[in-house]
Amino acid sequence: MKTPLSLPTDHKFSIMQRILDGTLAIDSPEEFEDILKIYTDDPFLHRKYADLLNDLNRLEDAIDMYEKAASLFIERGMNLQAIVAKILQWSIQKPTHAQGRTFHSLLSRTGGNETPLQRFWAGMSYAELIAVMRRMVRVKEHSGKRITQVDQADDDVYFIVSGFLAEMPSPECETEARMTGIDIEPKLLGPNDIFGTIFPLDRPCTAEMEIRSATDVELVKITKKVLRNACSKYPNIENLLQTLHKSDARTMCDRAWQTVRRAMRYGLPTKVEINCPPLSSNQREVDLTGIALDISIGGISVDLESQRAAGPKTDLKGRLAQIKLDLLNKVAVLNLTGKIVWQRRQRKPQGASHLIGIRFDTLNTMDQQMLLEYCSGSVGEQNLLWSLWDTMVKND
Amino acid sequence: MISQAKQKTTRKPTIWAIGGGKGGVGKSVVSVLLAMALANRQQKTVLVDTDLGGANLHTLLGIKTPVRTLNDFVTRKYNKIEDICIQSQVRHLELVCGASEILSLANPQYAQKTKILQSVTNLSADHVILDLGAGTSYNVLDFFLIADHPIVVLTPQPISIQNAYAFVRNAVYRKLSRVAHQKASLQEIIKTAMDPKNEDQMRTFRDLQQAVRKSHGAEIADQLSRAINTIRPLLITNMAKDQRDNNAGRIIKLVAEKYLTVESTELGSVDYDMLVDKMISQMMPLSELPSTSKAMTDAVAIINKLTDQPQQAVQ
Repeated sequence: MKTPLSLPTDHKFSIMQRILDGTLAIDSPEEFEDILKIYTDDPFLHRKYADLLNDLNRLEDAIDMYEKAASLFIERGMNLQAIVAKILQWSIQKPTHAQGRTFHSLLSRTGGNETPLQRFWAGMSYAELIAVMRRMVRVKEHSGKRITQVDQADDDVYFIVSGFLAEMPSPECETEARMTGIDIEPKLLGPNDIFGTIFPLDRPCTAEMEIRSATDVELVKITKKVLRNACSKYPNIENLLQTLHKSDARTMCDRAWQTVRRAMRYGLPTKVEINCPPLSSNQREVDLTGIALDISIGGISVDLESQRAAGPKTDLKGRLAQIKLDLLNKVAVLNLTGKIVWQRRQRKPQGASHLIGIRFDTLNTMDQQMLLEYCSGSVGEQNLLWSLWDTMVKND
Repeated sequence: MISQAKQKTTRKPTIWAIGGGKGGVGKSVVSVLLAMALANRQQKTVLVDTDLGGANLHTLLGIKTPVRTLNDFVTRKYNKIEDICIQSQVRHLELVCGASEILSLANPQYAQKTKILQSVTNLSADHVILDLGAGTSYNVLDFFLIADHPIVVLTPQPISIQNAYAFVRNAVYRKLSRVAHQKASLQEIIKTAMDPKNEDQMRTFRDLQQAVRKSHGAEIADQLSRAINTIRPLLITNMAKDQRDNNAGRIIKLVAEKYLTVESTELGSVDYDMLVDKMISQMMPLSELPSTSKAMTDAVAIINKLTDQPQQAVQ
């Protein structure tokens, strides 16, 4: 049994979420290393850091970091993501056969083997895996990009590495919905979902659905021609594809209630007052106010208010903090303590803002209960609540 | 007319619990309106202020300093809960005042809570309405879960909708946790599932059920399902100002169905009534609210919907 890992949108602490979705750009390796000291085993963060090192042309470091990310992904059963990290590592330095075999062995022995997609990657022989990996094309797109279009050639199979896409309702589904008077919204596809018509492999197909990226996405594309050739050479690949195809055969409209907004993070404004007491004679006491961007029982990220637009003069990282959270509820004003674990300036169209991340000290049961109550529901529950509120109640 | 309670002395009253999580959404006002609507049907109704930390229901009915409160019953000054019932200005409507002066009662001990629960369910009345306190403490949830009509009051504001959903969610997990109280390992799974960001990826009740089926077998998983099926929240949107506001309850209904497999019912809305606001700010008892007022008409409509026996309100 693999250690399950939350999707990027479900990360426990907001800094990860913000780094991964790109809203908090970290362009300094030193800063990234500090973050990784806190979150030592998050594969998505390691992968992001490896990308940064690669961009900075620190290739040796990037190779190590992709290696680390790949093994962390494997530990969590995220075979596809591990393969992509390896492809990136090997695109910098071509692997030896021994290195290739070591990775294959790790993937097939300890990679996830519970879902059809996990089995698809972990069930191939070394030769089969390499044949497919060599022909995989990595695709990165920003949100709002149309990936497939109805009635256009559907010659590629896509595997979602990260991010979310919306599968727009088909014309049949729209007709059905009109007849039954049901409101429909696009289906949402997330990491480890696949799209594109797999079978028949030997005939051209046209797309039945329009797929658009709902967030920035990373995909892996394999053409049907590559798959066809691989299958004729390695029948096992066709068997694995058949299993994958069956598991993906969804009933039309079965997820039509879902909304593309699931991938967005909603949060209610929560006022935060922070006091940092001096820890030594050369430190001064600092009082700050701000709005919480995200809260969990692990910590909080705070947008310091506009009067601090110039930024706190003091370096706050590492300072202890007494935090007062006004949860907009007369029975829920929380007084907590914690430590500021990151601090940074963020450019926005309306001007710069300053963000800090605080990790809470261990919460007592009552405070934990109150916070859980306030952060009620998973990201999915929260987003469904707010998207319904947007469409059903909110007055513009 | 003879009170129905006298005709059926052995029958237990119908218990209504009015909760909703957030303070200020009008739980107490809705409690009073529903109680008056029931009493106006000449059915003996007892309104109980179970907001044990901040009781103030009596002020809405024009009682400034209650002579007897729940505290007198808990501390055995009076042996029967009937002895602390205070007649209100509305015929057939009695009130059990809360005990805000004793802060320790905000978190009553198990025995105290059980005593209150048992007594209210045995009150000699047609209806007992429990006005619950804010928040989702176990005590509040336990009162909610014993009710025949568990009502969640919310307003169309986002924070209230969030709190109302949290209330339903916590009630569900409280119930499950009670079902599992003798199995530590099952309790642990339920506790994990309660954390909305748990790393075991249990996001819905179905996920939890699947995990339990795997770890404890189908029978225990089915037992949890049966427990969930007994929770049927009734949703009232208070202070609705326009047609779209009336949809607030539906949001809770949809999300609760999807994530908790809980079926809830929208009872309707109580429209924003400036007269109610005015009466509260001027400390005028709501018992003087005309039966033709918007809020009262809505309360009567809700009672009619719930009891399926439309009757003309009598005042």
